[in-house]
Amino acid sequence: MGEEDEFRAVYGAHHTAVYRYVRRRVAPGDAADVTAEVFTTVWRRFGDRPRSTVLPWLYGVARKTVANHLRARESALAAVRAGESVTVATARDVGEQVAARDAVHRAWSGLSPADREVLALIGWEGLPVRDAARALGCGTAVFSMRLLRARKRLRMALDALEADSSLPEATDTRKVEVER
Amino acid sequence: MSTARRVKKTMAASDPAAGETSAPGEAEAVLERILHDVVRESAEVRPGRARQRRLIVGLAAAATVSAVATALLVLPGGSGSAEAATPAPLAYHLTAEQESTDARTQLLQLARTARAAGETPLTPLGLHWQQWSLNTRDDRGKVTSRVVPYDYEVLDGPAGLVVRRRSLGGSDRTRTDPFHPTLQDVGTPQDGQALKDWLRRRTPGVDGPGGTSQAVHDLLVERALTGGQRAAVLELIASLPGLEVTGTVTDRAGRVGVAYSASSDGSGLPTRYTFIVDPGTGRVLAQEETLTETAGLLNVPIPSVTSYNVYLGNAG
Repeated sequence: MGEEDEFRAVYGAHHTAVYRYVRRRVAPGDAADVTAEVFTTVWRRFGDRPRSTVLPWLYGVARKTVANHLRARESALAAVRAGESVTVATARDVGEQVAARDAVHRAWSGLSPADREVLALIGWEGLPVRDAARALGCGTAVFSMRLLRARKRLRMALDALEADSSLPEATDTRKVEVER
Repeated sequence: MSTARRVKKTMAASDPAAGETSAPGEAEAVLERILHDVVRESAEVRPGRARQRRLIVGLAAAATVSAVATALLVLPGGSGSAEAATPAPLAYHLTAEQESTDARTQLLQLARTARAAGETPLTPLGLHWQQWSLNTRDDRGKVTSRVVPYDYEVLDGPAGLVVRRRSLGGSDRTRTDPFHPTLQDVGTPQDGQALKDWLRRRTPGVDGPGGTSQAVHDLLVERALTGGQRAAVLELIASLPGLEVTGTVTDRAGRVGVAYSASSDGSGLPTRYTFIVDPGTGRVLAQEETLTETAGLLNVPIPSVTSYNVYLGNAG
């Protein structure tokens, strides 16, 4: 099988998984473009792929791509905050996106990015700990420790939510416009 | 129970992406674009890219049948001069009768006709459409845009769904499509509101013209619809705010239809989304997108058709 055929096979087998990975972390309207960017990078670096399980590697590429995307978006928002007269087509923060759904979403969205990533790789991407550790580029023991801590913080956040019945409703601010 | 299993148990039901997929055809189109446009890196030179191309996804997905010569636009930002290469807008003729009845009423009447006819898709199931895409690409600072017409056929064969894509540029590919869902789905709603709610899962913007246009296209290239489902599509279009009758038109496949349009600047540029409907059967024959006020960085005339799709019915 040539590399193009192999890439097609990888794409066909894992596109939906990567799309959902991205969809969980960026605004809905950005998910398709960011996913395309992930696979663009994957094709560029296809020679670097592991010969065994490829999905954790794909998630690793996706993680970096999503981080770049979110940083770029933050820069755009920072420009707005600095008082420039600019209209930025933006989406809600990942926390805001999910806030209205349910308590687990709310609790998860309030955690640090590192905790969110560890929990999502297990809870939503459904990876075994070993593969999730590969996706993050760390060892299994380190990942397990991070997971344990993240779960504790998720539990605490859920408890806090239960105790607070006056949560504000999420707002959908898709455009930010600030005049100087 | 291990920590991982506890986490899975806690979070599984709260997955914000459960059941979500990218729009039909989108993954396939992106795959082809990557393989066509992206230059591989060797591991040794990875950080210092020999050549970088950034795909600009934005003006994509449209369709065409006639008057589609492959052309190249060199847009501002590069060294070349701008050269328009978009298809000529269609000619619409608004009659007094059409003007006397609002667009929504007309479409709802057509929906009733389609529903009453109760047609079922012809077998063997297949779909045929033609599509023209205006894609832009940033290659070392030179932004180029190509008019690339494609003809698509999807056939339901014994080995699964087979997609044939032919380009007027010469390429011809036939292969199974791992992304294409079953052509006939009795679960596709037969009521406009229910259809809108159903489509919103994948197309959050379905309440606006751009989202409806995308969602209708996705549906028409994904499903062989029954009469009831086609009625729901018309009801969906009828619900668009600001919908107007644009008039009688001959589409790019030479078929006469009635056009209904709604405008939006949700894509970043004011755009008119036009749906061309067969007045006898209620079938959506074609869609067109037209820039109406400004072309932004695209140095094309105003108005300019930026994309169109022509739905040709059963494949094969």
